[in-house]
Amino acid sequence: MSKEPLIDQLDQAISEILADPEFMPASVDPSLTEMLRVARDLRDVPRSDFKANLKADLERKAMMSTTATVQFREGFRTVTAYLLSEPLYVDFLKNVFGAIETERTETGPGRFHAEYRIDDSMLMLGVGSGLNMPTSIELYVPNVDEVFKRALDAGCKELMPVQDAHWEPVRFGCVEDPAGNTWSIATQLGKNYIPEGRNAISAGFVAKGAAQLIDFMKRAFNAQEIQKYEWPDGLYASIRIGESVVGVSEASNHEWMRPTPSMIYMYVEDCDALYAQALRAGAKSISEPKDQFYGDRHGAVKDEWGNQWYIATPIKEPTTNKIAEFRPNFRTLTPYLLPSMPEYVDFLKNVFDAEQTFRGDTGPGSFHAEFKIGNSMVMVGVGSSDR
Amino acid sequence: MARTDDERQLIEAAQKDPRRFGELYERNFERVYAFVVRRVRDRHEAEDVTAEVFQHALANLSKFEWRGVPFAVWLYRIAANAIADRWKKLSKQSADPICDDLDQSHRPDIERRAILFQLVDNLPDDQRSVVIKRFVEEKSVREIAQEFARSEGAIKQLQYRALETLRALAGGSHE
Repeated sequence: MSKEPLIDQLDQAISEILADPEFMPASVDPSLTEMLRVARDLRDVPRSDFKANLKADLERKAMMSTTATVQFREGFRTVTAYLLSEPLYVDFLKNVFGAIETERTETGPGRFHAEYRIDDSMLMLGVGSGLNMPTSIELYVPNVDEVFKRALDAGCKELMPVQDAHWEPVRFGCVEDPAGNTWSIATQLGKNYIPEGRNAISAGFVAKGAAQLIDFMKRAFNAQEIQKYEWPDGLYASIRIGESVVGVSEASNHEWMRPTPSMIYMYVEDCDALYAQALRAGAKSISEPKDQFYGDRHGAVKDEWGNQWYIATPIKEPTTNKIAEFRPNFRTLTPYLLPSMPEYVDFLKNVFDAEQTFRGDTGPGSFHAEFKIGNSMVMVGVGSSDR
Repeated sequence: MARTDDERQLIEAAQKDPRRFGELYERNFERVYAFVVRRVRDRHEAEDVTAEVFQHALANLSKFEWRGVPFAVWLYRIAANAIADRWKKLSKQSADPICDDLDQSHRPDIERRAILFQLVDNLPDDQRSVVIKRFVEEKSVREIAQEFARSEGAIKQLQYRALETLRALAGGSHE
């Protein structure tokens, strides 16, 4: 029997078991025999992050299966950050981040609500209200150095220069934009610049008492913690809310880690139920759920960290979208043709399979007619002298 | 019997609301992984098959009919089919080679290792970290000592305590 200390005998035997699963040493201390049987089974112990990641994936699939019947607006996931700004900020978003405007609705003189797509994500913007609520955004881009430079050139203030993170394969930097919003701009190194499970844009929350904020999100919005880094006096966590992931950080004395309450627009299956759940979790009501003229029903709450949550469910076509009230088949623009001969109608029918949907006399020898060609309409005025 | 009734309630709850599936997952993850890992080539494939099993189970939960048999047996059947499909694709075997593995005589072995895997999660943090580094990442004591800025002796001591704890908590299952 070996005279080596037991911890050395055990380690030597484990090394041999790892190299050869069939190995069973004959000369170890008998007290180690049972421990080596355990060691043999430990070769198959699963990775703890595999178990957690698979659970998160299953929960996401389960969540999606329960919300599949809800028609959220195209391009929108559960959580969308809402920024307040002045008109010039629109150019900043377009020039620095390549934002594409997908919606703009006038809300008053010099005021409008607008929506922007950046990569695979959406941002909402309230312009011209005179209100200011600087928030925090996390953005993944293909080349952080290029975007970071564009941001500085556009007047952003550097809060943290671009650098490689030591805790994961990510290169990132941080700026404050002209409206006071904090942008953490990052590129994941490797095949995909956006980490698996994330999207280009995530709303960021920097709060004193981040752990308590996370707990609130779990109770109020069924949030799930999918990743967490902790260090003395700090933490950063990725939190899934519905189909979105948000970042939550503990506030600190760093300039880029100061508390930044966010304004969030959420699309959920049942805004009334989630509004009530948020109140039970300790949020204060800003407004009770009610139908909005733009087609959403929403209520709003404020949490104790100052974050404002607009909880919405799409209910119908927006009442401001007059197209929905137009005649069937018509869109915004319809060509109006003024042919010189009545036979032009036959030409449309024979050549383009035009289907006449309306005809009305407008005078002796003149008439107005409407034709459907494919999925579009054409209007025709025959016999008119106005050409 | 209480556990059986409890499991039936969990299944019915998850059939009504798939978001409740997480509880069934937590109860059965180690069992499925223990079943799969000894029947495939490596850890990577074990993870792929395990993921496939639970994704299939979630997607087909509505078809599951309670007949008093543990839920894990249904999961083992899904796993056995998934492994058999892989083998067929690789032309390793033409027939289902692991039907016999579903024999009840194998279940104590699966349960024993599933319990052990759960016990690892309950170890004190420093012991669990050493076990994961040593057995999952297959790092040497010297490498772990460097990573944790500890002496090799300290890491060996933690490794010894961890295995002693696991042996004691696993009771007679490893005898």
